[in-house]
Amino acid sequence: MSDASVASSNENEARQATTAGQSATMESFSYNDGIVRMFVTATIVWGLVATLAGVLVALLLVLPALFGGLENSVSALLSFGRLRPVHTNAAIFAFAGNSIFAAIYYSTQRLCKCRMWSDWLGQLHFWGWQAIIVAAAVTFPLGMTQGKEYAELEWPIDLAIAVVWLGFFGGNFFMTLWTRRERHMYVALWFYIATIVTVTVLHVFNNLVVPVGLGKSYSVYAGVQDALMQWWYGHNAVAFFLTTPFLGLMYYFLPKAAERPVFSYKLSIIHFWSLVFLYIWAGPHHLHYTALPEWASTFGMLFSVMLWMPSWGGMINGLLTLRGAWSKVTSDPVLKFFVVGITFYGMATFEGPLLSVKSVNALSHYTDWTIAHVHSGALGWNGFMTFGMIYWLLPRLYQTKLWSKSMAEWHFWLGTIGILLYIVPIYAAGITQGLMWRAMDDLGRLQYPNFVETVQSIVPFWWFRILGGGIYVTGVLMLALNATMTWLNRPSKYEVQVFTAPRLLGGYQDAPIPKSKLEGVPVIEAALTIDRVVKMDWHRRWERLPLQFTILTTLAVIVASLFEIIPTFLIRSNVPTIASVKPYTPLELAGRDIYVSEGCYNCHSQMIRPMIAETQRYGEYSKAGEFIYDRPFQWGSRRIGPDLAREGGRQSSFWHWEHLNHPEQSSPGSVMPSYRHLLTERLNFGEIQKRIQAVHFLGAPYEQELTDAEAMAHKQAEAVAAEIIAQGGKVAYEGKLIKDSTAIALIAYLQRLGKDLFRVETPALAVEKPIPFVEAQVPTAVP
Amino acid sequence: MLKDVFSKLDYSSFEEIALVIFGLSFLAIVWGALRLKPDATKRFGSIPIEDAVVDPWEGAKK
Repeated sequence: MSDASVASSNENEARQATTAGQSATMESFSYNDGIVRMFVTATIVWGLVATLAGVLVALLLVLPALFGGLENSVSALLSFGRLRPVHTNAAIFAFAGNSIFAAIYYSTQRLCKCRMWSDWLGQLHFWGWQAIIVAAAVTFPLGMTQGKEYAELEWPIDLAIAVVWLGFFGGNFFMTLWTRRERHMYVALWFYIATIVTVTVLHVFNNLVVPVGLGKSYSVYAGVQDALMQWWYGHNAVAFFLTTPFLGLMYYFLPKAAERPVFSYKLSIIHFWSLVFLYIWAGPHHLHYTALPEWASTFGMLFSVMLWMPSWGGMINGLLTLRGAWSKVTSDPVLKFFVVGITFYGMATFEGPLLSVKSVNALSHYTDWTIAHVHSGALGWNGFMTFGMIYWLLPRLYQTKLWSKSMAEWHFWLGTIGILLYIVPIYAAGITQGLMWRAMDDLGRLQYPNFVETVQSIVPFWWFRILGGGIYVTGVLMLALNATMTWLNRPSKYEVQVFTAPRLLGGYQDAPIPKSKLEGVPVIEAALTIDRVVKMDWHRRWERLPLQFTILTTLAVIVASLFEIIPTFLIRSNVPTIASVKPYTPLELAGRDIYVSEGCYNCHSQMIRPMIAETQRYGEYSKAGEFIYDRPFQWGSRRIGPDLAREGGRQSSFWHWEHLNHPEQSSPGSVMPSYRHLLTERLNFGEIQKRIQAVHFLGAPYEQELTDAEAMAHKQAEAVAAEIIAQGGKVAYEGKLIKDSTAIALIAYLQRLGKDLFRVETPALAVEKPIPFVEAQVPTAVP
Repeated sequence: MLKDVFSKLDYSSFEEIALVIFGLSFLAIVWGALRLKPDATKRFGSIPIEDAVVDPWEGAKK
């Protein structure tokens, strides 16, 4: 953009000012591209980290003993359960996050015709966000997690996110809108507004917790309510972190790259509002056939199916923007990335509603089908839109030619092949496993009663995933090389363009209210008013009013949310309590915390759906009232291992001990890694009292536990250890008494799971005495 | 009080009510979008590729 063009473009403002008797002072400004360069670099770096972490966790599934030879303390840091959140969070918040920041910082300045409001806030935003990512990469392997997918970060980091996201980023963005020189807000800006507002609401409400230390907290929600909040958050994180900002990116960078205006501006208006209004209702489709109330589940399905309409409207709008420019696609890698990225958006948003249909979901849920769906969106839509944007930006940001266009072409083809090699086998794996779980023989019995058999049948597909993922990573490496070489060829000093334009003036008069044709006609006043109102260009007015636009967007999001959330929280009948369901004992609570910390929910669900194949395999289906003390809920979303909702009493405690030590021996063919570090780690009994009090504060009816939690935990640990010894176990393991190990607490928790539903109050005299833990068995000098 | 109100609601019709709310909002938005004049949509749609600042006020005058 030249100086002259901006100056002449604001002639209208100047003319209006003269008319209104105000003076229009011309101002000089330049864009802050330094911050865009920083975010682009971070996107590439974290893109590499996220995809490499993905390949690593994929390897751990086929080679569960990969880190088995390492020291206990080291292998504990590298288990699948702890590393998977590193991969998912790096992909979402580090790679995609930095990508949308780069897009927003670049496009907002150009769309508003002004520099970002504060360079300092930009710097604080950048470094704050990178610090949050590093904190995530450190705390997850250490087992600090809230145990909710994509919301794993513990409360101190959550607080930092709120400050950096809303305070630094949101503040800077909205102040830039406020001080803009372009009166009309382009559609990309609407999507950015929706992103900032909604992510703030989602993040704050899903992460309300009671802290019990810097690295541990309990959710204020429990069971069904926690599940609803989590998937309201989880699904809308996909919607408002991985979709709306990328649609903003599409609406800005695609017309730029194609040098054509967006196909239909009217369609973009309908696209935006429909998407914002519909997406927010769809979360409960993640909880079909669970203990969530039926009406909420149906809500989720209904609005998910309706999402087809705006999603495809957006895709069509994007692809048709290239009308008359398809010849460019053959020679321009940027457009190639955009075309395939938008196509994957269309595919993923076709598949999403399909998966939300209950009958389809009954087959797909808990299988790899969901993983394939997510990766077609993440690698295809988010990845390719990001790559297209970066290749378009590199020459402009570094003011030199792209180092190698042919390498960008190679990246495109390798990326496309990599995605297909990843998702096609994983779709096959998901459908295969889903069908095996429900297969029945002629006598109505499970055809594959051994869960491990269903896992082993899909292991070959997992190898293909590693191949596809590896190829995709190679493409990202090529991008990193291309970006580095382009950067090396940059000029010694960047040329900074200076523009001149007046500020927007206050007191802007909008179009007058139109006259009604009904004036003079004998009708009631209300008819005249309605006629005038419908003739007003409402949307056109809103598009000039950032505050009103933001309020309307917030309303669209909040109304829909409250429609689902308030009834679930206020009505007791939605979560019927069960008299026999009691809070966890102090030791079981400690064991549950270990279960959460190890990320067991990444492979095991705790939710038996009311289907014959599930009840035959796992037992009585789960009831909402069974989870009222579960903070956080641990229903899971994938079954790499079997469901554990009714695990209590299915195996002996000694079996669990051995299983944690050598899973492949007690379950031949299992892909679970060894958790032998739990056998040697000492349980911090002193911490338990504090945790019991926190859970009591949230509503768990404890009495004696409030003062004697530590002693009670010791007593139960001795009883569990004695049971293990009686069943063939040893008093000590690697020189340490087993009764003090973290494994004992975890086993106590596992042995409790799902038993309360069938608990019958036994008369005091009939209570069977636990096996005593005989101190005499313990040698004074432990071998 | 809020609790009393919600406890008296019939959840079986929530889907239909939600559909009606969406339907009305959708119709209002479509109405608003369709009322935009072609010259205005053309210029609004060109904002990212045009260096010039688009002035919707001028468009409205035509």
